[in-house]
Amino acid sequence: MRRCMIALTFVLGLAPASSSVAFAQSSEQSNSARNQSAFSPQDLSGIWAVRVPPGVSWYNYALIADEPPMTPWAVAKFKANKPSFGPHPYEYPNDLAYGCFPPGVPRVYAAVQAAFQAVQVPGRVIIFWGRNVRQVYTDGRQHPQDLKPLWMGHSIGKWEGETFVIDTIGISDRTWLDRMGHPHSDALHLVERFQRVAQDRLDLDMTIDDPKAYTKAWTAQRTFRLRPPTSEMGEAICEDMFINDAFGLKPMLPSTK
Amino acid sequence: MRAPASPGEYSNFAFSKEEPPMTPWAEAKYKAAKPVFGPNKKPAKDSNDPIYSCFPPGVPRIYLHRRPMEIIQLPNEVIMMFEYARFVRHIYTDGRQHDEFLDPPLWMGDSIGKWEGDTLVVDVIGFNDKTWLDRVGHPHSEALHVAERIRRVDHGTLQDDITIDDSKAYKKPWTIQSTFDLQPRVDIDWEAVCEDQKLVDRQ
Repeated sequence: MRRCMIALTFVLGLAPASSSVAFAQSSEQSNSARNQSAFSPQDLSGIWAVRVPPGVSWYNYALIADEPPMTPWAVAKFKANKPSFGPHPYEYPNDLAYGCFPPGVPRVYAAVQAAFQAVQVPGRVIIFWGRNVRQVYTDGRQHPQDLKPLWMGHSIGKWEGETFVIDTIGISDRTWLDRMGHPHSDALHLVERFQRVAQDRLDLDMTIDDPKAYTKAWTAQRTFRLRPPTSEMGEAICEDMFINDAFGLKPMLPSTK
Repeated sequence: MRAPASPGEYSNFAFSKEEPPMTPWAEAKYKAAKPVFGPNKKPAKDSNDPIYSCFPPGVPRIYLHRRPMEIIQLPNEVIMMFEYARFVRHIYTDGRQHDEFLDPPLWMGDSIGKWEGDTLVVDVIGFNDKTWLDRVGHPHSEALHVAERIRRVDHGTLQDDITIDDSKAYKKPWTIQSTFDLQPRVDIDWEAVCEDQKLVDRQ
């Protein structure tokens, strides 16, 4: 019989002492190289908000300025998707985000208000997109076999020098790649390369590889600025906005189980 | 609450067998609640429990939902990751004060904490009045003030002594307790999305 109602795991390790131990080797190298550096390039902790170049409106709905190279399969899906963002918004979208479903990755990056909190603990980098959590395993494990589709995918990460590389598969094809409705298949393979190039700046280069949906792999970039340590992620409750008849989402009936 | 709860046992849906000292205002709200548990329980199809609209359950009610919770302890905050409702609660321990301009108020409140020896003392205000305190429908007002004293009493046990102070709803503050057992190697399952229960009628 299950003895306990709620599990508790204490994850200790971001105390200043242990983080300096964990990053001792690389910090020594980078400190000698940079001297003045007041941060560890291998520390991504904090709340990061996307930097939007002036006058670039597509940052709010797309990953790149140009059309990605869709296959006929993807074109058909793209035409069936009805986004509320982008050059051809629909009044009655069929965007699952309006049903308060998780956005998936890399869609989280296709918004001008995109912001996330990164937390580093032993064996994991945890990335909070509000209530949508990505656990990026850094303990050397591989992706599991027979992976079922996951809203935010299955992610493993490793440091290549000062670059944190996240490899993600298993992203549910119910999610879109961006907010203008570009589709992806269950074969989507996302690689994100993060580099903390300054104390307050994080650069992201991502590669989208999905041979079923795109004729070749393509890349997109974003830059993030570190928010002050006193900032908060806030309590953004999707259901506050969308549980009403206007969006066609009716309250759930209680489960009888 | 350390002993395994059997179905039907009150600790599945309430913190105490005794009725808390409700004001007339709270009595009226309690009677209007249609929970699926407790003395006023109704058939599931008639329930007006806010969690069935996929709203966050509130504090301390979320502790009654028996799904894993993981604590991440950082220098400036304690994060509680709840599998139930996929909720991430931030308890700031860096000395900041409550946000005085919470508009609208929050489903899970505004939590700040401080360490008193081996006890994490958490202060929560800024709630909206849309959540219930438990699964039997005890109400609260926006004046709700929740004070938690969370302490690891032994290696495998976390104890949370909770004081409910809400002068609009209760004649005096009352206290309850939640206990949690350590479960190593549990990974939170983030896939259970409330809206995905095939009970949502989307059109």
